[in-house]
Amino acid sequence: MQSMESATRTISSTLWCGLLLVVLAVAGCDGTAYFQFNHAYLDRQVLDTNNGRPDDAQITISDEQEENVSEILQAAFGTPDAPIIPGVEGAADLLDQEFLDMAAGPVGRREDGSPRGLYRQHCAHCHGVSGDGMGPTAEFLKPYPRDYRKGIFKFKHTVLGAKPRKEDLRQVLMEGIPGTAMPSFRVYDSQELDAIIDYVIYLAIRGDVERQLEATILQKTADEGDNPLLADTSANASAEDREGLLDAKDIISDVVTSWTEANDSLMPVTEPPANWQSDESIALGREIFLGTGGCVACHGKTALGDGNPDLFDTWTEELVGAKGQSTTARLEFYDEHFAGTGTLKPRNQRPRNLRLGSFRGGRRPIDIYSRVTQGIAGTEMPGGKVKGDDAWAVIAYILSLPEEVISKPSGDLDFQRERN
Amino acid sequence: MIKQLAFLTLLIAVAGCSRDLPDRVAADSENVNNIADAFAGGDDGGQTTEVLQEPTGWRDLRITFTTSGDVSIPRLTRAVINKDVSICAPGGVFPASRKLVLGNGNAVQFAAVYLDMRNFPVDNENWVHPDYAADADATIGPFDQKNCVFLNHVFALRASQKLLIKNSDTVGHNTKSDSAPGSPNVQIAAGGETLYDPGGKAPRGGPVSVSCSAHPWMNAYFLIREDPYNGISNEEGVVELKNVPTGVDLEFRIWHELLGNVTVAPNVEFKKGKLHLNLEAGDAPEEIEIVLDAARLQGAL
Repeated sequence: MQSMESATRTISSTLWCGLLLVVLAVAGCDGTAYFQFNHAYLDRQVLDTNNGRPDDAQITISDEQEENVSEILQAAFGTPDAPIIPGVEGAADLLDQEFLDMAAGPVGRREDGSPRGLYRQHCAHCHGVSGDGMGPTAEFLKPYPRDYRKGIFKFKHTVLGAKPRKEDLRQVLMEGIPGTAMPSFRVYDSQELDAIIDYVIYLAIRGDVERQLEATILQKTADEGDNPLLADTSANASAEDREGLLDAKDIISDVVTSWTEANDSLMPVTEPPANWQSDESIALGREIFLGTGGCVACHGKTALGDGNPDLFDTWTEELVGAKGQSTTARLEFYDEHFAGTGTLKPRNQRPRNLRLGSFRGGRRPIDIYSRVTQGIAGTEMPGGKVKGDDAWAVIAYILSLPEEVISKPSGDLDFQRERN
Repeated sequence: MIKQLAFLTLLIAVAGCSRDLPDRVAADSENVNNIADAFAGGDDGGQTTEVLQEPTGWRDLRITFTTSGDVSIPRLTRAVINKDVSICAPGGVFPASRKLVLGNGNAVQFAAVYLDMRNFPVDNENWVHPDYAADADATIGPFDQKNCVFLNHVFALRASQKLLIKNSDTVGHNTKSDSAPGSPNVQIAAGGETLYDPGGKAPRGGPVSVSCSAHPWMNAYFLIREDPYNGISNEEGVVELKNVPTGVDLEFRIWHELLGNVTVAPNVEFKKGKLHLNLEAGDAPEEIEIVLDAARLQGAL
């Protein structure tokens, strides 16, 4: 009797295990990674282009056109398992193929024992295989992981509008980003970090080129109709059809050049005065912060970051309604056009609460100097206004804020919104 | 029973963890190889054999923008202008949308005209009149803001010029443009000013958006080009381009914020989205009228 019961349990367990294996196989364990097409950007461009167009003049982008863009990108950049450095001037000096090979592909070891798949091992679960900031864990994180595809990185020591240097990206890897889910990777081998840096730049270039190719093919469709291809290399393609190749090469070349110029774009730094952390300097910094610096418009008079709750960063701006509408209306635009398309739900960009003493881009004085004088790329944080010794005074004030007793504020407190 | 429950939990976890993603876009490997070969082989799209024409002289070009009918322009609301209201909506009067500005009669202000040609020889004195050299690297402007409105809704400048940006308001603004060269984002105190330098680079495409972070409803555009043959329509709806080269094929883009690139207009022929002109020599300006469809403008507002 007992052996029959035991046999029955064994058969039942086997069946369940077998069923589990079938489910796992069906659920999609195909290991071939691919770059996700940037549908969100293209769809937004199409929406904006079609706004106000009569029904019979609405533009659509065909599957063949999307495939054409994909094919150009694959020809120039390869795949997640086999990346290629694009064949334009400067690219081979900027990126190292050996590093790309170490970072790309599935996690493992190559024949010579060097690592492989570093990006997928350390980065892709948040930043995504395509560098789109939409990895499997992304939607649970606040703030969301960086989307590299605009080629914009917040924390750097180059002038506003310039790309980051590799040293800037290395700083982010070494220090992490406090207050976010981005950890420090300082325990890892230096060469492995170099490989990840090169691969992130590669993804950023590829993503930026993809956006521009999408914009170009949309423009061509609006101009010519009939869903023309961007680059047609077929035997019967006309010279005009092949012009798209030149456009694609120009785009790739321009994007690569913007990255190679980063090293020449270091922000100018005024040496701090000897007494920059004195009480007098802090008082001056407070005066600038509350007055001519314009900081309170967003950070609020209490520096709690409650001055302007309606801001979106540049990545989110592409998903919400146009400016000039209420925040509610802008979010409704997202719900109508992008909800359920795989994009991450928009969140407002909150100005930093400066009283926490936690600074995402680093709390060294030179890091805050970069934010104050150059602004923060991709956000509404401006630069250019406070310079020189005034900048150091503001930095001294900001660093003193966690120690300032908020219940006894220095200035008059007003409500941030007018009540009319 | 416990095993079954564990299995069901695992099943739900596996099935329910995925986010809806768009379908994968395929890439045909043969096409990829052909394109890669074309890139590697220095394929330049057949451009190297093109022979440039030579201009025969100069002529002024005058383009007038009008609407085909009346358009009702809405005002911004309290829901949009939610700070500094006493400055941005003085006397409780909320400003009209700047997406469409009508001048005298049915004149359309702030429409843009600019050359869009791959091989325009911007450094060739036969193509760019020598008079334009005088202000090629000048500081122009001002691009100003008052009562939380950019006074020039669209401002044209050459990439070699500098732009004086002023803030004549009694509140601070920051003038920001992600897409302009250098991505300027400069805080300007009340009554202050700053200088924007595109650094000789023109962005791809047409006008780029300009905004203020502190007052997000503020919006304007910069049109930055390397050549001087561009302009923005004034209160009379007129763009006047002086000394345009004659006897050569020119391709112009016509742009308005509400319509994007204008590719259709009565009695005007557009080819592949552009206005193609080959001006004949003459003393009087070449006159072209672009009538923008009122219904489309209204629909886009």
